[in-house]
Amino acid sequence: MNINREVESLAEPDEAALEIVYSGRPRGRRWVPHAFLATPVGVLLTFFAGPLIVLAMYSFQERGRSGDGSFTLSNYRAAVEPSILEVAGSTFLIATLSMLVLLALAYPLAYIIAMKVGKWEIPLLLALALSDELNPLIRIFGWRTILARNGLVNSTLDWIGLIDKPMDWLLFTKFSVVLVLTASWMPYAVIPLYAAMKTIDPRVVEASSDLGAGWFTTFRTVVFPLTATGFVATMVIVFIPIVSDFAAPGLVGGTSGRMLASVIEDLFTRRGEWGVGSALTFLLLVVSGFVVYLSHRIANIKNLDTST
Amino acid sequence: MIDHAALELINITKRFGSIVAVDSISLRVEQGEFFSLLGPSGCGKSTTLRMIAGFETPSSGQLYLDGQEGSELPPFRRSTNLVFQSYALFPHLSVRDNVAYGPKRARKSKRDIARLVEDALRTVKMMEYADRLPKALSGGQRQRVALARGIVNRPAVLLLDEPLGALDLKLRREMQIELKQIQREVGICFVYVTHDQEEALTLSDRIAVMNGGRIEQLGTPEEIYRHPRTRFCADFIGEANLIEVTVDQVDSGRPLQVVLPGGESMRVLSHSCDGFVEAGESATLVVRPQHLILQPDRSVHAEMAGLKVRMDNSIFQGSVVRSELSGVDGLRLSALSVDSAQVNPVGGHPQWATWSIHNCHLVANKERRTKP
Repeated sequence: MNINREVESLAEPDEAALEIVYSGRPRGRRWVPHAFLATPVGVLLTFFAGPLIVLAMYSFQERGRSGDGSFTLSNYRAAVEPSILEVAGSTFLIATLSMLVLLALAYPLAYIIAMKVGKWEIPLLLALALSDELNPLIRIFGWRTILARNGLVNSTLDWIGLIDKPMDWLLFTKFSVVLVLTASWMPYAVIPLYAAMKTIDPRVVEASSDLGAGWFTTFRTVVFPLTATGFVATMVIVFIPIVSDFAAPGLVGGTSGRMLASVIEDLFTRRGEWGVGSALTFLLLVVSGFVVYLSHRIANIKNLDTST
Repeated sequence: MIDHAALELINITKRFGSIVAVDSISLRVEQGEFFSLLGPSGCGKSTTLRMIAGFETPSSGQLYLDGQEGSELPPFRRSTNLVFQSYALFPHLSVRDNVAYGPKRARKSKRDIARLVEDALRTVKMMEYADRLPKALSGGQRQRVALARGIVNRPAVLLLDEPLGALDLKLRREMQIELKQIQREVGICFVYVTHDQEEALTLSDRIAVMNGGRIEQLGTPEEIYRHPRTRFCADFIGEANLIEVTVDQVDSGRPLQVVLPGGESMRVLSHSCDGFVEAGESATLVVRPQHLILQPDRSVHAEMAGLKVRMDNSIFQGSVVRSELSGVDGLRLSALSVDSAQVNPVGGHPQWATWSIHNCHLVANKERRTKP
């Protein structure tokens, strides 16, 4: 079959043709692209790597703001003492829960915006982006007025007569932290998921329906596999900021909803323990990095078995 | 044998807001038939197809699939399958799994699925590509996979939405022939949407010519080509010279004689204006380019009609010579002649374009509201 042969040659690109394509740019100006890279690399080194190096130095120095320069691991030992490990445990619990709730809500929301709302698509996306423009402190204080002992929820339920005394678990608990974190990071989950959904050809979804699949089967065998990579990427995108958030636990967390970032903040700003704060920052960075690496591995698993 | 139609539409209408996309169409497609919906873009053919597939719900009317009312059924409960213009293969599944998708949803056994998929892939000659992903295939091969995916479930009706539209001309011609063979082989009723009249003529047992949401004519390719019902059909199916004439003599609504632009009278033998036209009104005479004969002088012959024309251009096209002619009142004609010796030089003396009164067809100019 000549058609088939034609495609064989398409699948294996002609080496000579590629040679022409890649040797097409003028020789002798190879430094130009590197020069363009210099600016962003410089900015990154100065404002990102620089502070990290300073932090690293603090984390290995003796106690005290200035440090006397002698090497020590005591900061790291202080960073893994039981009280901090307990906060670390609740941090990862809160962050994981928040991430799961967030994805469970953001995924269908992104699906609806991408596939179902027609002309409301752009207005909804803008509304979502705008909701993030609000100052986080104001937004979190808003939540406090809603969740407080005499806040909106309790007073409303009391007025209806569903409760006779205010519910105390609404604010300054893990619940309130998960709720506020979920709400705060919603746009950051919906937008990448929306982008992943938009890459799906709507005809492919129609084809699934045409071939006998109901909506759930279509979701399971077509929509989800085609957005799996975007899904894992979104997990990483939201997990990192959530695990290092200090505004939400600081303002609605109370004692039971404390998270590592607020401990670090405390170490730096109130207790003057820059060394321990730096050590803890690094530990958090390493664990987060490991989470990203794991997600990357998961996303790279090819041939997800979706054929059944 | 089954005696009900594979597909029947009765007064199907589809409105989008105030726009009527499909205007009360009725048609009946028999088992094993190759049926085409032909028309320009925006004529309602794709909307009709999407209503048959279940992606749109008719605003009114009934739709029967294999004898069962089905206008409200969702796509996944219908005995139809659709071959999309863009193929819409599942990008994450191999060719084999793409084709197996339908049988799996029908909960067939593993062995049956394997056998059905293999049959379908063999039918479209794609068995050796079974383990490839769609992105490693050419357009023509994706087309074949889409076709295999459509026929594997043995639907009552296979719907094809301009399936060859994205292929180049040579490949399209090859696929046309093969598509027709495959259709005969599997015996499934095909409903084929296209805007390409040549494709529709080549493939179809019957064609519905659509325009403005309505069916202008429904018939075999030959019927439509030889006896177009309307000016639109005449113009859309095949190349046509459309000559404005005046109806001269009428016998109870049937035209007997017309006056040509040059003032000559012509007897009408073939027309689609029964009981419909009145003397004095204008109508359109359809003469196919290959039926125009160019002559230096008007030879008087009762069976021949003619117009005085000037030769503007003459193009040698290999097997034929195409002549561009202009007549009175800005009338433009083209003629195809097999014998180049017959064609006279460009810009020469005015000459005559003549045709046999057996080789022309009269259609009315006013709109016709009766059923085809």
